[in-house]
Amino acid sequence: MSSAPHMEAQHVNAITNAAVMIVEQHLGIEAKFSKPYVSGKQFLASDISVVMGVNGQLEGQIICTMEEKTARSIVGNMMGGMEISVLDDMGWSAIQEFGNWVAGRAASELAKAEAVIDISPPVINEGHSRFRMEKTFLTFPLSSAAGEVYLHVSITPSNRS
Amino acid sequence: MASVLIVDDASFMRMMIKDILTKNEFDIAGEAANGQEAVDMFKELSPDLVTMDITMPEKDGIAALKEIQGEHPEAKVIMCSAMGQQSMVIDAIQAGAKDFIVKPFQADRVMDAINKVLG
Repeated sequence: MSSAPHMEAQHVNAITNAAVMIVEQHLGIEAKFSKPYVSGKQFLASDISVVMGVNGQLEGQIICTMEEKTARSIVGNMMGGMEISVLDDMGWSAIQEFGNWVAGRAASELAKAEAVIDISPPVINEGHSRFRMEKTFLTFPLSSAAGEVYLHVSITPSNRS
Repeated sequence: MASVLIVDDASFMRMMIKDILTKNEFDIAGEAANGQEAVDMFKELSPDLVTMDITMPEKDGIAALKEIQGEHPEAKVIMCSAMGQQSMVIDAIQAGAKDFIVKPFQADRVMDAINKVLG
């Protein structure tokens, strides 16, 4: 049984605002978060996961998961409105970069909340996977015309800060 | 025509920047996928300009920028990063970057920065 993780609301808001900004303002896709929930110390991810490490005054992970058709739709938008039938190497690179954009914007938003972080280069996981962690994750479902994107977030103040 | 070295670990971003540059009749001097490649390719190719990502494996863009500026103080480097927080921008400018573009970007922003730096 997992209890709710101790994540500050301003930090969580910074990350969710960043995701909405990227999807709405840059990709031009209307998006809205629905109610977050506690995933606990393990969760089953959808087809594609973009895994990013957070270091600095906060530490942890941001894992962005989605179905393959959602990824194809996002990549199509990133490529200027192309129809993407299969994710090729360039498509995989694009979805990795999408995660980078969200995490990078989150870092900028977190800086406004006086939390300076760095992000590790994103790693992609393909296929349904069960992620297991020591710390508890909160999951934020983002609904959009491209499909559902789930942000699984576990960040806590660093012991070194 | 000015030549540009594009540095980004994501092939998608290299393609996007290359597309913007070739449409505006710039020469692509080369493409590097990490900071070390950028340092090596700068020595070899002496490009007029470098677009440099920050978060990259092996050697990040700030470390590569410092190395390039240390050996070639005349180098013109524009940072292109998703990490646009103020402290990162200040670090980059203090290390010698001529401008800082936050990803995702519009083509106009890239061309404005390049034309200003090469102006």
